[in-house]
Amino acid sequence: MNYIRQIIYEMRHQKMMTWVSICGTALAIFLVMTFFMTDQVKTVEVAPETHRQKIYIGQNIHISGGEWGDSSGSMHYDAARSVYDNLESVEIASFMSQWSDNADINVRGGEAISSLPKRVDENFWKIYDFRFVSGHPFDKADCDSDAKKAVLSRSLARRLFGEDDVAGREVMVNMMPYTVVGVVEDVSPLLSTTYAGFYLVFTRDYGMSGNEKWFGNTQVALLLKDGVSPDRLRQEVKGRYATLGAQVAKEGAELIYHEQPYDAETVAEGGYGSNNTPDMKSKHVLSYFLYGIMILLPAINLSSMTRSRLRHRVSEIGVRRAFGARRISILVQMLGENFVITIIGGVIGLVLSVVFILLASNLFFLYSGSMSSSSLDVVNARPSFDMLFTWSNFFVALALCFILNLISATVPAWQASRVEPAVAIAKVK
Amino acid sequence: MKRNLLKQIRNEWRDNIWLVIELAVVGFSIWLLVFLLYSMTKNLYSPRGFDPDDVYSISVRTIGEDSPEFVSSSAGGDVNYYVDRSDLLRRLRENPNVEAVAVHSNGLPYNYNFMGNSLSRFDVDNDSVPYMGNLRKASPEMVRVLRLESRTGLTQQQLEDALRRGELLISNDMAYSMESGDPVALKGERVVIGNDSSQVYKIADVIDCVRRSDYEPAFRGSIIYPLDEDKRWTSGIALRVKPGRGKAFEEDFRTDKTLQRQRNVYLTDLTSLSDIREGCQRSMDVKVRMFSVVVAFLIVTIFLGFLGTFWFRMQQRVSEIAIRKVSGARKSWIFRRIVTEGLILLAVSMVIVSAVGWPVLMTDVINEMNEPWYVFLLLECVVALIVAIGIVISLWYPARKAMDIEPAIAIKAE
Repeated sequence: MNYIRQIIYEMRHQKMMTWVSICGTALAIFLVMTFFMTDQVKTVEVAPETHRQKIYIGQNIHISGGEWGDSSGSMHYDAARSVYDNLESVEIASFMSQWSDNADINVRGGEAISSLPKRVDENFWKIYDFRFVSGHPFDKADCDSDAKKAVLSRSLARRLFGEDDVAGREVMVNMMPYTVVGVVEDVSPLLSTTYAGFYLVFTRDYGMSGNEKWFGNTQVALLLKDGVSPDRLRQEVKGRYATLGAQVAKEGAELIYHEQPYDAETVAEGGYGSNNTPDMKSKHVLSYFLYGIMILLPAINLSSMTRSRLRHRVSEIGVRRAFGARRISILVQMLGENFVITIIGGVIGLVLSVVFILLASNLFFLYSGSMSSSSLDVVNARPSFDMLFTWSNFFVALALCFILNLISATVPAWQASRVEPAVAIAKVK
Repeated sequence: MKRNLLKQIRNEWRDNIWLVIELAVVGFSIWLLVFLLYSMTKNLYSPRGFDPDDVYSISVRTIGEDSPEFVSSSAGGDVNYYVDRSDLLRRLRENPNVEAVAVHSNGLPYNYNFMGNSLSRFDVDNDSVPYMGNLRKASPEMVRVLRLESRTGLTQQQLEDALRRGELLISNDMAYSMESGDPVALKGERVVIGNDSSQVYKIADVIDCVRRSDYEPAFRGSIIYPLDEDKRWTSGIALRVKPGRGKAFEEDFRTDKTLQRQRNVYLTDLTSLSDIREGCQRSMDVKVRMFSVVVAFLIVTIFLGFLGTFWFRMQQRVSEIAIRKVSGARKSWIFRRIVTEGLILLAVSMVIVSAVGWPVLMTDVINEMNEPWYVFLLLECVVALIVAIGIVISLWYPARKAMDIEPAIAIKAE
């Protein structure tokens, strides 16, 4: 209780220093947490990507030599099947389109809406955790027969029909009639693998691209079996690549492996082409460096201020030491007092960062990867509150406060605790 | 005064060393960020090679035979997608808000496609320096849609006529210029595209490079390849509306069904080039904003650091300042002394920044585009100036407090 009283007294007594310390801490936590949380959005597990950490994405193929020159792009359906189908490490594999142009969708006779379709197979609905507000997904028979069936997002269903429960109704997609079999909750545009305005059946024909042999439009989502490491999966895929590479070699060309399949973070980061290997290690090193700078600079500032604050209390510390207080207890008290100020600043910084990310982060951060999408829906998207406020983020903020406190206060508190009582009291003017 | 000040700075070395380290880290970080900002934005004001205002993109789609909407030949004459599209293009051109209409494939900027194709002189074996460019296929009216600019003084009409004759337009190209000089020398040459010698083209003129985005330099050249609207199918239409008539045209397109569909061909995805630009350039826009904010954050950090440290320092020196005032020191002298102290610390830190910064910033990793040394020097001066302004502002409040000290009260309190 005395601690708290003393802290309040000190804060009131040295208003200027207290405000500067709190502002400095808030600014530091605000900045680090903003960067950290926007980074976390790339891997956070929210519906429908609730198993995001266990899902790996296979995409792109790169062939060099022979008649192909140096060609890379999305995979042909057959090539994707030969690499990713029936892998031992994988529980379920889902084949889908990698990219789509917007399509026109309307009720017959009504005004067309331009919306992004995604073509998916029946396993897509098993890997991803969609919540159906009406109807159900399409099944294997639908996919085998290339059925003209569609699953709409809730917002698109409302724009087209003015209601959610529209399973069984008809829509026109690029002037072709489709039957709506289900309506799902909207997916955030930041979940690039599952985001779409509506979903259609994916078949081999859609996974090809004209008469190209190896290239097409196929992406594969792989749900890892429990207990299997991503490295084992990659080894297995690498083995399949070697087999496929032997076929490519017959054409005098080389199949280049780029560490597929990719985890959620790599896919969301997106700043790589189909002809190179994503370099997440460099990206991580850069991130840690940035975090370090963002913590270190304010810590240096706060350290100077803490030293200044403690100089005021040299006589008090001297008296305590004269009455038998141990150095360690003085050190702990000083750290504790400083931690309170750090926590106040930290809470303000955390709240500010959440508000900032929710309201304006799309102006300063790119969630979709620099080469991924030019759609304004995607580039303007911001994370929702449930994507941001996770317990892990809260504990990271708390840990940051603790680290900031340790860096900024340990040296000044240690110096203060080493003051000799006689010298300290003699300095009292 | 100077000797006295230096002695005082030395006495406060424990606090000062932290300030110097902080200033050095911040100074280096700002220098690096300002250089990256400069590298990213320096092309924003160089010629784009086109005028993006009042331009729209439209997609062409066809209705398949398995659609109930398909108009069969028995109902409406021969099914000919080209004829249907030509009818739609004619209606667009007749719209009073429209200035020019062209069909294209990779013809519009603000997409990162690079259809790299090389041109070699037809009658020169093993042409050692072929021209490499982004192949932009477009019908002749694209000259007016994008307002392409000749580098040799030809009018837009002359450029358009050249495309109608089946000739090519090429652009300036940094890479070609470095190896072979001005591509204007290629004007009038007969060339082949890639290894395909079955067709020979004449280079009609050299235009400003149609850059892929405002941030990107004239990365390789542009080759404008003529498309015949009646013979080549492409799904892209580019259209220029008359100045300020964009909204009126959007309304016409939305309400006039004859502009949208002709039998089995329909038009969709009307998007302004400015919206396409926003989507395409978002990653760079975001980077520029973020780097600017981080620079601002670093300056605020300096501000808080100096404010806090000097605030306390002034409180400690109350008696000293009071005695100086009694001895006749003027307010401006006190202010000058405090600010000079801050600037000396900055000068020391800039020596460290220079020692570390020059070797790091001049590496190929950072200086990818081989900027000359004086750019770095200029930016370093700018950084020192920015930080100095930050320091002076942060010292203003503690200095003012110190200047306002009443000597009698201060000394009595002591």
